[in-house]
Amino acid sequence: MLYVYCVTEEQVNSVDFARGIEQAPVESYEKDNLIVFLSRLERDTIGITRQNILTHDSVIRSVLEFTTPLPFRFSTLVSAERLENFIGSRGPELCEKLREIRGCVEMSVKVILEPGNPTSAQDDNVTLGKGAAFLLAKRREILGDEKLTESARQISDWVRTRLSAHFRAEEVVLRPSKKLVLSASHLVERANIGAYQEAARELMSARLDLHFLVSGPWAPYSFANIDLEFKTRFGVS
Amino acid sequence: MSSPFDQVILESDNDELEVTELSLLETLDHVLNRGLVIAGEITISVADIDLIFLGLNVLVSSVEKANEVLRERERRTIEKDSTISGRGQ
Repeated sequence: MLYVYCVTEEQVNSVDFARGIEQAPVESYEKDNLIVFLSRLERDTIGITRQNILTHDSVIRSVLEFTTPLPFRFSTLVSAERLENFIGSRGPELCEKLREIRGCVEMSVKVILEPGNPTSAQDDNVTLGKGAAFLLAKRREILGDEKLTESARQISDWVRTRLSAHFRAEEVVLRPSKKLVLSASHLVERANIGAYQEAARELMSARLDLHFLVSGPWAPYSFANIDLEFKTRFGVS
Repeated sequence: MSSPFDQVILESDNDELEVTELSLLETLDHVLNRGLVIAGEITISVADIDLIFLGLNVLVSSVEKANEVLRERERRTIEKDSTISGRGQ
């Protein structure tokens, strides 16, 4: 089986790969002007181990130093035939994706918010019947959710405003009811990495009430979901 | 010498986790949840025990995601069973 790491539009001969998954050498496979970096394995499953996960990212990161690859998801093992079919049938979409991410990396911003209690102490002192108490509790729940959603949206807008000058595209996941309210991925041109990091530092110092985690550069993992887009577009499930 | 593409973690409060742990968590989040998928069968395992086996065109990444899929499948099975038993009455 072939364990695939990433696909690029240009050969990167100068990459000095350490060993890949399971200590297998990393090789390249070329078809239709696309290059896939892969390892040949004698097994058909991959364990989720610290070593395997770090190795997967390490191989992709080695390629990222020279060109921007489309990374495959961890544990993608395919037969040679299936890989050939995939490249043959999805070639145009892959080329389009590679064009979109060319010269960029992904930066990640996560924001953690400790949600406050949306209810007021005054309401708690009122004695109510069972039905009224149920409705009040429901109302509190809804208002609380709305408050959290609005709060998450405001944080997202604020982060976007502060960083938008430094990124080309954005993928945002809002989770208003969770502590991790915002997970944003930004496609940043290589020349803008320093400016982005500087803006991120300013962002973090501007809101001490929020907890931030900014990381990168990454290969553009969040901008590579061709199959998900295909499903959305064609309603395939 | 560090490369410009060495990963940097900026954290506003590092009381709870070390940067190396955060780096691993961030890597997990990226490699398990995101990335290009080849439609097909995926089997992943933890400690050599196969955990997940899913059929064609199902995208699975983390255990959390797998749990969501399994819960949804269970819910649909229960709904289907109750519909069938309802028709039989």
